[in-house]
Amino acid sequence: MAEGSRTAFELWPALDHKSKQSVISAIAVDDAARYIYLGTSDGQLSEHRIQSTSSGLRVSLGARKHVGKKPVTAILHIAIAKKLAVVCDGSLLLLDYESLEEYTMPGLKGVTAIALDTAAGLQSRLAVAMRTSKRSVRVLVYEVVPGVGLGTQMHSQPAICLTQAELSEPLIVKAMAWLGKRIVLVTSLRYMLFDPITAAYSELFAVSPEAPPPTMVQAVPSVNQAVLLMDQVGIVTDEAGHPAQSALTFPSTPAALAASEIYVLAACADGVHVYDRTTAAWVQSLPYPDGLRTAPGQQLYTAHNPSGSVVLVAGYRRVWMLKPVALEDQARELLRACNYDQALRLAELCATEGAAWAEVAFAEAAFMLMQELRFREAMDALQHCSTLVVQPAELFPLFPDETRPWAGAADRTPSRPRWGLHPPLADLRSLVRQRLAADAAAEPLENGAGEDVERQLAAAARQCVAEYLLEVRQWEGVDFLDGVDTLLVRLLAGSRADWALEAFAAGPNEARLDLLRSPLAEVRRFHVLALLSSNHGDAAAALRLWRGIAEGSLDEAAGEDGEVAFAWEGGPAAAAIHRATALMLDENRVSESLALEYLPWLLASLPEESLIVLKGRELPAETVLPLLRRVSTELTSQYLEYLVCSKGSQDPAHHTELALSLAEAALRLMPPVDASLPAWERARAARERMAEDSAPAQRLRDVRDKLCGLLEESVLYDAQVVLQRCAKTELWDEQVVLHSKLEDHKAALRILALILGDIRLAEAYCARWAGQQGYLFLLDMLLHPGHSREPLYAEACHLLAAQGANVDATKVLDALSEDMPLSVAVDVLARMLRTAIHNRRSASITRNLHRSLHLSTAAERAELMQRSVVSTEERACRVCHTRISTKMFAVYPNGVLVCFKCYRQHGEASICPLTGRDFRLPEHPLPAL
Amino acid sequence: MADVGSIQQAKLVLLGDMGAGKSSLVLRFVKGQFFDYQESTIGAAFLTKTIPEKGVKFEIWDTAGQERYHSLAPMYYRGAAAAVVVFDITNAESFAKAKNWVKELQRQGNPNMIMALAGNKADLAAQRAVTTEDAKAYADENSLFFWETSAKTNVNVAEVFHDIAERLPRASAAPQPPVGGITLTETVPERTKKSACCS
Repeated sequence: MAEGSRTAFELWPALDHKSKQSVISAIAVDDAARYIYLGTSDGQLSEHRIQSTSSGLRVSLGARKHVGKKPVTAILHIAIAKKLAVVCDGSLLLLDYESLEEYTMPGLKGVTAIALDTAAGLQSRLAVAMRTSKRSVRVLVYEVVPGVGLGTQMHSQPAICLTQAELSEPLIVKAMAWLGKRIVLVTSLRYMLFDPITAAYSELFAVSPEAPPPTMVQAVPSVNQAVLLMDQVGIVTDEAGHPAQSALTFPSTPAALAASEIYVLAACADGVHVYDRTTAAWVQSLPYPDGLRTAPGQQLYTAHNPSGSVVLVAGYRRVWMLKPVALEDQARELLRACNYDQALRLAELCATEGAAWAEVAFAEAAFMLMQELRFREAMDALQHCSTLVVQPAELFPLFPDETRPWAGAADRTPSRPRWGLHPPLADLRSLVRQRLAADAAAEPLENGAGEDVERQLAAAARQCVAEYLLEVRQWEGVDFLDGVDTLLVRLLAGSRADWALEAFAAGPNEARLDLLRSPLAEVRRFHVLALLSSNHGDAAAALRLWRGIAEGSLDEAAGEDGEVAFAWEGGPAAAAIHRATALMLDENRVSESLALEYLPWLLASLPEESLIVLKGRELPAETVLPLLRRVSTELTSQYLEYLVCSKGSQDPAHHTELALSLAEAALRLMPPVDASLPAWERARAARERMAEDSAPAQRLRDVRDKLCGLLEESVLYDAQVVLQRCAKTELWDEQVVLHSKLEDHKAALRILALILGDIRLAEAYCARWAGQQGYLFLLDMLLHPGHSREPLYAEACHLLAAQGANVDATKVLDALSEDMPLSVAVDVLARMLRTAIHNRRSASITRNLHRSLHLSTAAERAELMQRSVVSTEERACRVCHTRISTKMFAVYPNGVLVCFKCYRQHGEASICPLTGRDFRLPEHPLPAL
Repeated sequence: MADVGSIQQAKLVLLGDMGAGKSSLVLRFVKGQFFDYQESTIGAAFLTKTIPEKGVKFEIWDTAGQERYHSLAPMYYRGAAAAVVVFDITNAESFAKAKNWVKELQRQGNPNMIMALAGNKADLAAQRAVTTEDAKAYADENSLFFWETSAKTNVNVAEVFHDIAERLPRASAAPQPPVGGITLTETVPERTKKSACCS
């Protein structure tokens, strides 16, 4: 069998046209492939019934009709309309399918080609091309109406013209084919694409003058494609007229073309040649029986039904029928011939169209390829098979040692559809040896080389299978997943696919840990074993293994890739600790007691990692802290900081310990200072060093910021204890805060003013905490700094200038030292005294003004008291008009008299209840300025 | 690096005289193969090759160089984003044919088409009939980019295609929308005109 060849069609002689007066000039077949219609050169149309018998094919004449005097040039079967379209002598006739009653389409003369749009659904659109003059061609599109009878007695026309268009074309249209909604028009010199709706047309290409005739087109309606012929080349074009695939290269110029399924058939002089339209590959050649050949230049005719189940090829007198072999059978034949590429391509093509057998073909190909040790291709093929067709457990026989607990698993699964083209799968070692033996017979290997080759072949196969299993195990319906996963671990471990193995072990899987412990231990893959243990809920075992790796008691195999080899510079130990840390963070998998059991190891191995665990999960601080204190004060401090700042611990001991540890850390970081220097100079030196732009200075700043922040914000620590530690150190800022907490403002101010020399801060401190007394303390300190220091007059003056007005001047004067030079303080004191005098005078003026106001009010009152009111018996209240008589009454300044009852009810003594006048306002308001 | 998810398709056509080495160039680029006796292409062959790092999938049409198939060429270069015109540096006539192809593309091809001129068989420099300078000067005159290639020794083959991939406009590198061909209708209806203009 030639490469790529297969039996795609079988050729049968269908009938002989035995007339001596005429030859076949047209042919058609009905949709159901029950009738052949022959047109002959003497204008006859005959109908032949096809019958399949056990011995082959029997075709018998059914009916014959004379439709014209010239040759019948075209016949089309219009199934929906139950009609035949026949072209004879340039006329178009429509014949009833059953009675062969004919109707000549009026006005159609010079018809040269017709084409039926079989993709138009329930419509039957028939395109007709006719010559109208020497320079023009007309293309009409009819809808052939179903159910309308033919004959003169019927008034209705059996076809309605939908569109017609005139083309400027000197040559006749020899052939036509629908291509989607457009029509390919073929003349002897060119191919055109014509849109019957817009009447626009364009040239696809011109036929080369060197190219021999004929020109023709074959539609492939199922995919909206057409095959255009030029010379011996068939150009497959898509709906837009663009080439869709490599050109079909026929052995000679075909006399006719046909299409069936994925094939294009070219009827040539020596026989029919079959090509795969999707790949442009030659598939089969079927010579005409009895060594027949057509005469040079002889016309051949083809016809096929829309489903492609029958293709007819006719010469002058003989008709042959080509019946397609089922694609499934073709695939099977290709596989039998070990033509895997072609078989797989065919299966792939049919799989996209939903052919159920395609998966079986893939499976068969895969198992056959495995026999040939072509595992890469085999596994690629298996990827196309669902678990309904192939179960991964079917590969277990390849690895009997690794899959012993599932021996015979594949046999226990329900039977799967197969073609039985391959023997049962042997174990991989046997397969490799068989292959090597076969190869060695052809080409013997050097001594010792065989083992290497065997090992390499087996390793390659294992790798391919592992990759397949990794993919397929995620699919639905996988049986024996535990076996698949267990095998997968063994294969990956054996092929040193470390990353894949570690990822698999760390992910969800059903590998049997009990079966993997020994094999993995044998190959020293403890890290993977730990990952699997961790994944399967045995955290204790996982941690034990990782501790063993880290401590060196378990000798982890050196890897080429994977976590152990590359992820961390520290090698297996680092990888183990990293994974252990991640596991210990998981509170659901690692209990508190287990975590505490491994915490000391983690602390000793990699303290930084352990801190991640401490911060990432709940562990009792009272247990953790003693462990930490033994390891590192730094870590203790960090953990305490986490407890206090992040967890919000309310335990005063934590706050105090954190403050003390921060203080210790700060003191450790502080550069040594000359203890013989006075405190203020030591403080200045320390400040200068801390302000340096260096990493140690930055670290110190950070620690002290944290410490000060804690001391200021927390109220839980024991300030006395912390102060005890900070005293006599250079932690002056911290001491200020601590003194402040202990309300020893004087001490705080002393540090601020005399040691740190920061008067502004001292002032701010006074404003916030110490009040006026604080200012006086501060002033006193500045004037009497002690330690033989000169009074700080400038600072004192600054303090007075800023705060002097608010402080009692006499107290200030009392506080001022007699030694203080007047010239230094005169300005400040003068301003302070001026302010004091000003304040005193202002107060005096204000007092006198108030006194004056009081006097004038008293005078007005006295005047009003002197007024007399005369009341008679008739005098009535101006509000309620009740006689006053002897009752109590009230008189408003405007003379309105009301009874006491109304006065009380009115409430507002300063507003007249009658006029509403407000006596508090001046009687005659001043004009607005 | 281009986003793997946004691979754009680009139609590329190879044109040139018979025997210039079009099929050999494509085979070398797509399959890494070379045959001393490469069969003459009949009609046209279609191959694809994806350059993931450039985010381009080339749909390559390797046309036949024989004169009798010249009339088919418009079908293949119509709507192409790029064309490689190939000539044989040992054959001056093939260089002349290449110039004709360039003229035809300039006249009838996609105006935005990227054109490369490939002087193939650079391994046969001893039998050179077209100087590099002449070819380069011609390429510069016509805004083509020029490479001397050898499919046999695999010199500059991938470079030609990578160069094209680099120059493809990202938005229009995909195959052009279907254009039915050259409109021949003399009295084109108004509706058709609009459609052609907007297409």
